[in-house]
Amino acid sequence: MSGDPELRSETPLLEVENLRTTFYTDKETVRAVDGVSFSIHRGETVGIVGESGSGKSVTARSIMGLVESPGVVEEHSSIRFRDTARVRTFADQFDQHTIDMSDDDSAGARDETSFVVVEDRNEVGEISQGYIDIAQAPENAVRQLRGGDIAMVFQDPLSSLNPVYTVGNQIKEALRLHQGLRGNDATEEAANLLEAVGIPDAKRRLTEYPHEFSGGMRQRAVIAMALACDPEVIIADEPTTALDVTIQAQILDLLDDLQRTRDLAVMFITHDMGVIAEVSDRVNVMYAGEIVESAPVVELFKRPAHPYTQGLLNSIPGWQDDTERLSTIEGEVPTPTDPPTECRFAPRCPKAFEECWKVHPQAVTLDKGTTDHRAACLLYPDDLSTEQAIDQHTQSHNTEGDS
Amino acid sequence: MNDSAPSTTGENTLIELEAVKKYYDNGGLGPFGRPPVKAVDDVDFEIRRGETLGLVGESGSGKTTLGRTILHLESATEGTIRFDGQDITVISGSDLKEWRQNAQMVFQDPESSLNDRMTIGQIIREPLDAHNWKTPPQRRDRVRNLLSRVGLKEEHYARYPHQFSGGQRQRIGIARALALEPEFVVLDEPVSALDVSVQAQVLNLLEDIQAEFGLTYLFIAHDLSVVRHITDRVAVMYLGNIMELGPTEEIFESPANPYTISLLSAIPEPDPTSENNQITLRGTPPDPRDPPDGCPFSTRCPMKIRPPEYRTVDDDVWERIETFREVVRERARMNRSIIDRFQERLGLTPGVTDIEVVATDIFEDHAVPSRIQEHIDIAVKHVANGNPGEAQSYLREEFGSECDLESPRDHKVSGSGRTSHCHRHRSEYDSPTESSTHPLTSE
Repeated sequence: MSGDPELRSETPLLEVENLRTTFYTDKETVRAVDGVSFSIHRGETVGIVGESGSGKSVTARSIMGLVESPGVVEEHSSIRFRDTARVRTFADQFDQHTIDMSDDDSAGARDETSFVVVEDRNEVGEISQGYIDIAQAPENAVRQLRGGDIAMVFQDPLSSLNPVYTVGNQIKEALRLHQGLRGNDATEEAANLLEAVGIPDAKRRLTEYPHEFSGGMRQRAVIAMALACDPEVIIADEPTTALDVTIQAQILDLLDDLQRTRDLAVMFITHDMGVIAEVSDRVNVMYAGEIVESAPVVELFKRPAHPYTQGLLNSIPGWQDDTERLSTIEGEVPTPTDPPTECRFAPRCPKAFEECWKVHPQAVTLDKGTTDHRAACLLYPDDLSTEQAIDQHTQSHNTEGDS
Repeated sequence: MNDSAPSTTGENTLIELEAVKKYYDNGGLGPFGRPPVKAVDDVDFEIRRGETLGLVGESGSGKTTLGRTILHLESATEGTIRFDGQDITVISGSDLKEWRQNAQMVFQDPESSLNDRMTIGQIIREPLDAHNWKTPPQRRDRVRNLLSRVGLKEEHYARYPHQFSGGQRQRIGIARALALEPEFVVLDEPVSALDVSVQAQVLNLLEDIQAEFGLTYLFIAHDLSVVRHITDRVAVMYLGNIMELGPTEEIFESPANPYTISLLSAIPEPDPTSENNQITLRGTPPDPRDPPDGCPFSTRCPMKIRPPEYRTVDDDVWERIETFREVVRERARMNRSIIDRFQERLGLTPGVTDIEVVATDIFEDHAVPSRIQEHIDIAVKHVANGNPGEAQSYLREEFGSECDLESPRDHKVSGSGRTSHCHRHRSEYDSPTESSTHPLTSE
């Protein structure tokens, strides 16, 4: 979508590390997200692609603090939000729960409830680097982030809008909660937002109800609401799946424009490889709760490494040269219930061999020369022999288990 | 694939549609009657024996209604539908029941199209029971055969739908449609609810069955890559009209109709390096209750014919004029009650009358020639005086062309008999492909 990686700041805006979200039911324990790590920089779009049941939406909901019982974000998960302005306000507001690592004396005195971490201060003593750990933060802190710094756009715009309030009322509510605007100021700003998302005759549109909007217009209104709080991060969960292709093109254009002008970090979830190719800078492929491959978008489509990614691309009609018969991935996405001891894709994998059922593959770079392209598959690194590669996977699995 | 057979009715034709219309809600008489919803408006085409005809279009274009009308699940408002030469819009009673064995449907949503309280066996057997097909033991055998034919196991007979995944449920739906050995199957978005890897399995199954039983398919879908893969010919629908119809590869390689061109350019390709010139259409399809007078696509068409005196106007300014017309059209359509108008007169509802502001916003930062500004100002006055309808016709008079006034004919655009519904194919105009300001790169 955007971006020269050179210009990007070194530290990402949002870092997800070892995220595990588990649903405990009487019948079984579903490990919906099982050890996912990735990061998003300002101005960057990170795509997450996978089939239904792969855990992409649960990942998004975990970041937003929207996982509800029986779901639990596990203890060692970490979601670090590194917006300096927000860290400063939170360090004041929640000073009981703040650890200051810039000050050598108290470093390491972290207690169970702390979630704001100050890493560095500038000459005048202001916080210059730090993060908020959303996974550890209490609900009242998460609520300020959600809809404020981190906004979400869902698949179905109709379920994100309240049918008994006008669109104007709903946008104004967001403006009141997050920016303290009221009355005519709020109406003015709401009209500006609708215009910014490409709805003409905005003033009149504000007085209409969601059912008077078409599908594409509704999604624009939802995006306008998301922008009302001037967010830093937008999490878009299949935002165009319910829309027609000509309307999808409009919404993708709009998101691209907004990202450029506002330098947003965007996490874009979809199952559509075409959309991923168009919007992302970097792609993470999810399967059964894990990221099985991660690469810059051009690299991923040029050299898909994981057999799952290859299968996914090959089953898109019109992508293959041979149009006679589509290649398929046999079987269905499994529901991960046990800690992984093997490769979860092995039962469907055309390249699976004996060790695939014994060793849980770790994300490794494809070969020595590559730094930016990782796959969780025993076939890699492909410059090592199979035995050496398996050794590497086994060892990193063990060290991970120890920590 | 069916190669360019001439489009005359013959041995080859299984189904033939002639001027088929399906209008809803045309009740209400006199001044209180609302105009009907024109879901399908004057459609002609034929489906050849053994082919797969694709029907594509955006939601609300009338493709599902057309599919259901062909199966006589909806009765056509006007027109004839001939199946093997027999007009099925007039048959009823036992003739209709008899005919129904021949034509079946597979539905989009495998979650809702199977009865959760029936076993898989009962579901697939139901059409056999309904039509009193042979003897009960033979029916059971038939169901077992069908189960294994669609890639399920015979022991699934006694299980319930909730025990199956989306892809398997769709296979059950297919088995049910095949039970009575139909000649013709309408597939209404059969794979759009499925994940891509499962979708490929179901598409392969559909192709195998077609070859094995010599079926004719009408494949309704909005996913154009699926349509390109599975169909022989495609009909592109917009607002109840067929905009373009012809052999699939031809349409995908070199679309002729402005709508098809725009639609194809909007598909995101699974290739991050592709630099195809995407045409982003403005606005949304109009209300089928109030379609445009001329060409159905005229409100969004990027290649619309302009009146001669405006052909040199900057594209950007012209785009703004069209946006302004859209706003006026919306206002004219707004169903305002007497109370609303009264409040407005008294100045109680703010924000609705400020059309001047809207006009200024739309034309902001654009050098609008005074000869255009003049007309915009007059239209603004009409709207401000509470006559958006008058403003609408004024603008149409001034900036409209035949695209706004008369519905185009179906022009033949290639040797294969492909037709396109657009005024631009008339000899006096540049064809849509030439006039496009976005040069199209063919794939």
